Amino acid sequence: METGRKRIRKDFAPLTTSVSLSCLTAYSPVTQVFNAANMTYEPNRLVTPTLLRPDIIANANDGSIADPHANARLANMVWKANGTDISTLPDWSGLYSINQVGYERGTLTIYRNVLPSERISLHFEADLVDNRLGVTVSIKTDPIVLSTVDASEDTYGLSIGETQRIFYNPFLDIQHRIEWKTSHGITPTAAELAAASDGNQYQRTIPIELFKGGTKLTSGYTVKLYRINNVNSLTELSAGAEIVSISTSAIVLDLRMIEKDNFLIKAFSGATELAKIQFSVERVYPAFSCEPTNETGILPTQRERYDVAQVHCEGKIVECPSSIIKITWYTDTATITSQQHNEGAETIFNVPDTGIGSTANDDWMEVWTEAIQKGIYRTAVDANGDTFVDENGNELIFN
Amino acid sequence: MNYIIANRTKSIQAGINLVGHRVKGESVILNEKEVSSCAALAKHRTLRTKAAAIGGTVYTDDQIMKKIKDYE
Repeated sequence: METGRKRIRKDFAPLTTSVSLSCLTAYSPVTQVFNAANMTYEPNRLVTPTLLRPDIIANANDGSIADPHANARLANMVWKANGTDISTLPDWSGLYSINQVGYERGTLTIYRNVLPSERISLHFEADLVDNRLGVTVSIKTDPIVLSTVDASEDTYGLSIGETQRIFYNPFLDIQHRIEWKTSHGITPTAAELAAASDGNQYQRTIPIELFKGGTKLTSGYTVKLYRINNVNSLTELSAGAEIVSISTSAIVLDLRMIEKDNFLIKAFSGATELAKIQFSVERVYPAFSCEPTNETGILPTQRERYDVAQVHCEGKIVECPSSIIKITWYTDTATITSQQHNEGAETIFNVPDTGIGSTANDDWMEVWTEAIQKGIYRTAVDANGDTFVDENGNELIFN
Repeated sequence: MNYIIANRTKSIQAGINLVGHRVKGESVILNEKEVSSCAALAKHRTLRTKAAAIGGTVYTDDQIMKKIKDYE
């Protein structure tokens, strides 16, 4: 005789989603310039298209989502221009494509030039199926506007050779890793040196170009940089700390020292403002994992134990993790839990200090780490507010 | 604005991000803005010499439009 059955389900945490839009093509941004002198668009999207990617992150706080990057799992994807599906609009026909593959799924490639009289508000919609709970989550991004500036002969325009949303991810910063290695007596590899300025480095040069009509100006103007405090308040910035330099041709920033800021560049002729352009900088805190790697047993007479942490981020092992992450080592035993040891990517601790016993009940030890991504660098100052400098007068920074 | 048909490998080595570019075999189409602002090419003074450093040739808007039909 079969006895009674009871079906028990796993309890999953609800899905949390975050949605944003990125322009992947700094060289072909969402704002074009129409050069009336030769009737061309700059840049011409038929030649160098604009790419917009919806960045969909879906996660759950119970750890049941293996990969939070959800683009690959999107369904029913639609891009809408001023509220209408672009696949139904004749003036978009043959002038766009939507990526269907992997992490780039949903990315819109735009070959369409936008008339100076047009203003196109684009947004992305899709469905995301949560198979754990059997529900479908609707995804909708904020809009992003495509527009074109008509550069007639007497109009000034300021452009920057960077995306207007600059993200700094310390995990991708090879320049920072090279400097960390050098300061710790480790020789960087040739591949690292070759890739030091791959676009992810903390020392970021933002080229500035001022145009009058279709003509690039090279003199006769000055450039000022401001921090946007709020809609009514700007603070003019000068070189120092996170501002490495300001000139008429480029602004150089130290992205290690910026958490999240909005900036405004203005060009002046004397006291007359000619043109301005806004951009933002944001530090990225990607998800990562950190695990001890020593799985060898402990000898009865052993007094010291060595371990090293292995950190993974976006499917890759992170080199020199202590340059980015604060790793603190702990042990648990039957008698002492959360026994704190040292900080760093490696540890050597005294085995007896952990409280490990010598019987079958208490001869075990668990080694674990607490790891958090380090924050921004700040200028080192003493109690009087005086800045610490090295022997050459360079300001010292730390995080 | 001018455009450059350049060598893909040399462009990547110069630190130019090729996401979204039209390509054909080892050739890639770049625009003047990204070549001019490339830090690795800063030592070359003109667009033509910067382009040459990445195995490239400079074209006008009209000229490049006649060539892009072969590019994906």
